Amino acid sequence: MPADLLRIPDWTFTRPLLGRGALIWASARACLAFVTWAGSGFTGPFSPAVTAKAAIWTAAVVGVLGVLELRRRNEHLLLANFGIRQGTLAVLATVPGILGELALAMLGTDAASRG
Amino acid sequence: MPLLEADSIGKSYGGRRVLASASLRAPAGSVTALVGANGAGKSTLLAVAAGWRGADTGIVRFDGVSYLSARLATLAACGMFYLPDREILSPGITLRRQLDAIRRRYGSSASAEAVAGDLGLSHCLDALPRRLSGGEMRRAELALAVIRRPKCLLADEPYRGISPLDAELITAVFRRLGAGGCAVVASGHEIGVLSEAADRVVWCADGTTVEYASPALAAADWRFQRGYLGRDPRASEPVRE
Repeated sequence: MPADLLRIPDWTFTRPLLGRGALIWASARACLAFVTWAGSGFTGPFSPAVTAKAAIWTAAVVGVLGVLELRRRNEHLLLANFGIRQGTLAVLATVPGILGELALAMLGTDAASRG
Repeated sequence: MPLLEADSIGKSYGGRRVLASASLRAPAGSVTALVGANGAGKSTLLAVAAGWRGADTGIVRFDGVSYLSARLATLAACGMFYLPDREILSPGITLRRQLDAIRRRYGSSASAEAVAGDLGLSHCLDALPRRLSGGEMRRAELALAVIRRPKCLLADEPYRGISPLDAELITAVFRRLGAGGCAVVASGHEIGVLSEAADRVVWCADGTTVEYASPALAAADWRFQRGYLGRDPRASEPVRE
């Protein structure tokens, strides 16, 4: 495997990318929970729980939005100049969504086992 | 053999042919000026040579390796640096932190302070890029390239919209990079400053290119005078068509 496939950006650039991804994920999740709640006519509990399929879609959407934000800022060009491939950036942009969904799933499982 | 060679490049956008068979060669240790009218395909040729845009036809050779579909990330790992005609600095990170990150990655001996000092950016080191003026931004982007110590630098319109003093600083950096063995290509319309900075000229016109060994040879060619400078060498009046 070529070395540049494994190259990831310096932490200086990775941290804001992950931070923005976390913000996008939190916003997407809040919107999703609100839409679900609104769909129930505001009668059911306001819960972040979604199906596994919806969680996967949310992580994917967070990745796409993260990449779009990166492109809007032209940071993809800056990082390409340091040997960072677009595919690597897409994976990094998806990481906050995946971690967030995993954390929520674990919290949900934990709450269910205690309840 | 030039360090960078984009050979017989053809490129169309939505059915409009921008480049038919254009070539760009950048020998190590030289500064090449890429000139041409608006829409002649200078930016496209640079982007293809840098691996940022794919070409429909042609081949890119960099540092002895031929690429049918070059990618900037791959070429950059081998020493390419591409400055497009838009801002690329990360807007939310100070210039000092960006320069330090690149210095760490490439083990550059030059400090962020020294590089910024050379480019007249000492006062901007702790500023966010969004607070920089146009000229400062262009110099700050060049600082990224300088601290990277590239083998080849492709700069698209580095002189656009900046003051003569900023242009002088940028020219000095191009000359210094060239003297250090880097292959520099700068595009633009500022024929005066470009001629001052460059050893060679490539004229992009009608989807193809003409190469001159020096700015003086370009200036002496009546086709260049007529086709780019808009002067008829046989008449004292500018050409009006």
